[in-house]
Amino acid sequence: MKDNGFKIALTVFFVGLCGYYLYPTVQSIMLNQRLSDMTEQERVEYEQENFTQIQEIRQEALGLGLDLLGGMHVTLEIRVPDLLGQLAINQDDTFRDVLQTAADRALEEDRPVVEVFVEEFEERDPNVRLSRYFRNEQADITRRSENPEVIAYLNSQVEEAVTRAMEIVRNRVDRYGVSEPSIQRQGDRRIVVELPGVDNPERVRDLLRGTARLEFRLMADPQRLTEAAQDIIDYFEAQTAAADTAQADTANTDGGEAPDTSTDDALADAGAENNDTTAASDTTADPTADPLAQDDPLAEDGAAAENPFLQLMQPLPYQQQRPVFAHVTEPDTSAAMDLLRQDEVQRLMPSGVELMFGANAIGQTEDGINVYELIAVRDEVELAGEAITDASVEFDQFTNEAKVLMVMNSDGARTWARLTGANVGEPVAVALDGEIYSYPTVQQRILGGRSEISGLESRQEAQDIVTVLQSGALPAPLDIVGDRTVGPSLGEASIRAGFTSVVAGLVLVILFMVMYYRTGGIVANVALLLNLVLILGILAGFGATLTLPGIAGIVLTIGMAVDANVLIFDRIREEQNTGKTLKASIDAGYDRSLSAILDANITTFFVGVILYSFGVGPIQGFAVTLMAGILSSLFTAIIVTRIIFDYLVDERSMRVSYG
Amino acid sequence: MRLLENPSFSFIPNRKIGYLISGTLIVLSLLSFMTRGLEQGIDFLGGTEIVLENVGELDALEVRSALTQPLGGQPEVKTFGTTGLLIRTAADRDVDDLRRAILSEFEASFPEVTPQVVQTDVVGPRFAQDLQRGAIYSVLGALFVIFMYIMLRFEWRYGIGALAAITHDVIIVLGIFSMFQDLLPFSLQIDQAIIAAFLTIVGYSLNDTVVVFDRAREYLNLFKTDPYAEVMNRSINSTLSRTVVTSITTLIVTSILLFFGGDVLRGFSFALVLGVIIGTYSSVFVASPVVVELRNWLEDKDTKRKPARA
Repeated sequence: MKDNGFKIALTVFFVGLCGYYLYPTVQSIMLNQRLSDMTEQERVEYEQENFTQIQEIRQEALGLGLDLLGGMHVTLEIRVPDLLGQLAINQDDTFRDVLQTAADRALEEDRPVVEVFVEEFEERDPNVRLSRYFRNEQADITRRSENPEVIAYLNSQVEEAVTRAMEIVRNRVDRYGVSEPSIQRQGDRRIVVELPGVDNPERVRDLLRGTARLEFRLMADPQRLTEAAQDIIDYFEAQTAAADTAQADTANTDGGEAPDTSTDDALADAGAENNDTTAASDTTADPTADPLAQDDPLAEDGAAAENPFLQLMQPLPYQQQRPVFAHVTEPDTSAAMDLLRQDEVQRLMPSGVELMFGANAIGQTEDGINVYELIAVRDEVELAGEAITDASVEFDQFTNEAKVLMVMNSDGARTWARLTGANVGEPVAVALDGEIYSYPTVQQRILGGRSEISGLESRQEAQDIVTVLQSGALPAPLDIVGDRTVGPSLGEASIRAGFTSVVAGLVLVILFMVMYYRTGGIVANVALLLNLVLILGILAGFGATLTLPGIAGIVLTIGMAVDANVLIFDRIREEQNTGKTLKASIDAGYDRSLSAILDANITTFFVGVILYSFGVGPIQGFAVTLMAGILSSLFTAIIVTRIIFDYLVDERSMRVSYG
Repeated sequence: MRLLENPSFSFIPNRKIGYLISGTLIVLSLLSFMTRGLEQGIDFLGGTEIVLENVGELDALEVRSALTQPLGGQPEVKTFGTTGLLIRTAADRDVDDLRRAILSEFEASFPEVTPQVVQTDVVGPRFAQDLQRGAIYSVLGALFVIFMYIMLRFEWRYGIGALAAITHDVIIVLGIFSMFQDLLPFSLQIDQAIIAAFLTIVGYSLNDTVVVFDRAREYLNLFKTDPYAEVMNRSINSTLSRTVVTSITTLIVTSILLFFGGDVLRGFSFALVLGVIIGTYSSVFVASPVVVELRNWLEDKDTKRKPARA
């Protein structure tokens, strides 16, 4: 038959193509087999010798998804409102209000922030000139710029910010050292980061999110802090007294006394305080449970249990010139910040002072709960991270502790020299992303623009800070809006489950087809197996990864792929029943079932396309295998089986049975 | 082997029975939506899910009450596989904080086990909103595209018939998810994977429907003088053996996924199994009867109008 020549050529071509794409995958499986048979040492040697080759094979092989391999799938979103805030040269109340409303509305309506922001502005004042807020000489945005120009400028800035953020994220991920990371943009403000086989997800999250906002700040006056703390204690005690007169007496007698503990046992006090917090929930404070608590007049009679301020933190007295406001245990940190943000409390705080937590715990309570310092700094930023040109990890020559050494540009060096010169003997805080790493006391004026971050927990932390500093500051903060982290053990279980399902599904369907359609069934099974190879080949060829939903798609395809053959065979049986010869029945069977097969599969294919375009991550994996399955099953069921039947009937004159 | 050789069931004449069954199931489903609702997964609600392995035989309720205080709210705790637990919380806290809080609570309350975190899943509220929107768009988009295709390839009555069958299937499968949400040993939360399963069901059900319609298209040209309902009934019968065989092979694989596919895919494969059964039923008892019904209705209108014109 002449037209079969073309069909055979086509089949050989497709199978060859899939074989070509699947070859690295087979190599990779064999390689892993060989590697797992070797001893540790042999493996390292082998990997070193054949490094490029192994790398190449792994790159080309059909990859496994993160749900099978284990790893992190993180979706980051850039905070566009923050970026607009940063771009604005002057912000008034209207601006801030509009920005806030626009941020909320953009979320609600799923529209770009800039668009909603402009709309909101124009709704309030149709004649508003955006150039009042945004100006940039380089971009030629001046006082006289029209709104459309400013809008175009803002949009380009957002666009640029996302691109820059992606580069920075890629840079950080590369420095962290993940093999085969994938960083992709999703929509107008999201970045999807896929990291296979990450051993320390927490570290990666910090690394991705770190804006690297480095600040040097002066510190608050310790004496005024102590006074403020006393005022706040009194304020809450008055509140408690008003709320509960019965217990007001005891509270008042103690209220006059300042918390009288030395900084040296502040740690222990923090422990005592924690003890009180837990006790407070039982309403029976038992300070004797903790011997250290007995020195503390506040804890002794359970007054602390009633004062919400003292429940959350242990204020430190004025001593040794330490600008530390209080000690807070780990579970209370966010509640403490909330309390301090209350308007009444804010009014009692010294003006121009901001409170920040220390980056690392200064110690632990007896129960092993971390204690953090709440440190008071001035709210002006004296010197920011933009001045940093280089950073490296160093070790302290005395304590051998890791620290980060930073070098500044000339402007920064000048400011730094002035700042240190004017504050000899005073502490200067080094803050990174809103946490204070250290607040060393300035010994002398520092020339040459060198500075360091000490007080780090580990070498690893120092390394991460260097990474974040060197990769540059993010244009705006990134939020983790989605995060799926799968451990390697769960991934392995999923691979096993997926593999079992594929094999079991295949065996049962093959048996059923042979039983039901006899010779026809055997031919359909050949097509089915070929179909499986083609699907994997298509996936490998398009560089797709195999995910668990993807495997589910393959299993499902096994069941549905035979449908085309079922349609054809049933039709052939019907034709045979009308008394046609075998050959005529086969011809009629294929011809007459074609329209049904095509219509049915095209509609299902559409479903796959829609799933792919609206779905995210794993769902797309499923959609891809579904679509690949439809295409290859159409090919194998219609063309390949026909070639085989033609051969059997025409050339070998076999009596093919359709059961 | 032959199943259903030359069947001649009276599907169309007895279509009222189908209406009764489908109507009952749909009413039950809608009632269940109203009373029991649907349990949405964190994909659409937002929140954090942490899967712990190696917790032995701990009681989920006990774990829940132990975790309520440290997490600042009652979490959902479900068994996961044989020795695992799935903890779901709406707490808006950093996932690392949550993980530490959970592990230290386990150490304090259940020192006999050494749990390991094998999976964490965080969906922020904004992201959840987007995923929800994506899901709605994809379902509506799929329905629209399918309707358009069937309308172009067949005629509008068939488009409506197919759409009716698909909607029927999705409502009933969702209804079963709603009715059984706490009664089965695995999670029936509506998440992205379930939406994918629904679209697959839509595809499968359509597949079946299109095969019947295709045969009707052929027979209508062949038996021009026969009544429409009879031709449709004959089409269903001629394709019945194929319908059953494909359902069997597809049911084989979906059941295998349900039993061997692992905990992650349990809800997904359950939806597929239900979908195959209901999709097969609906192509026979819903899609084709609706086409016949539409045809009859229009003919009635025509015959009523004609004498008026004459």
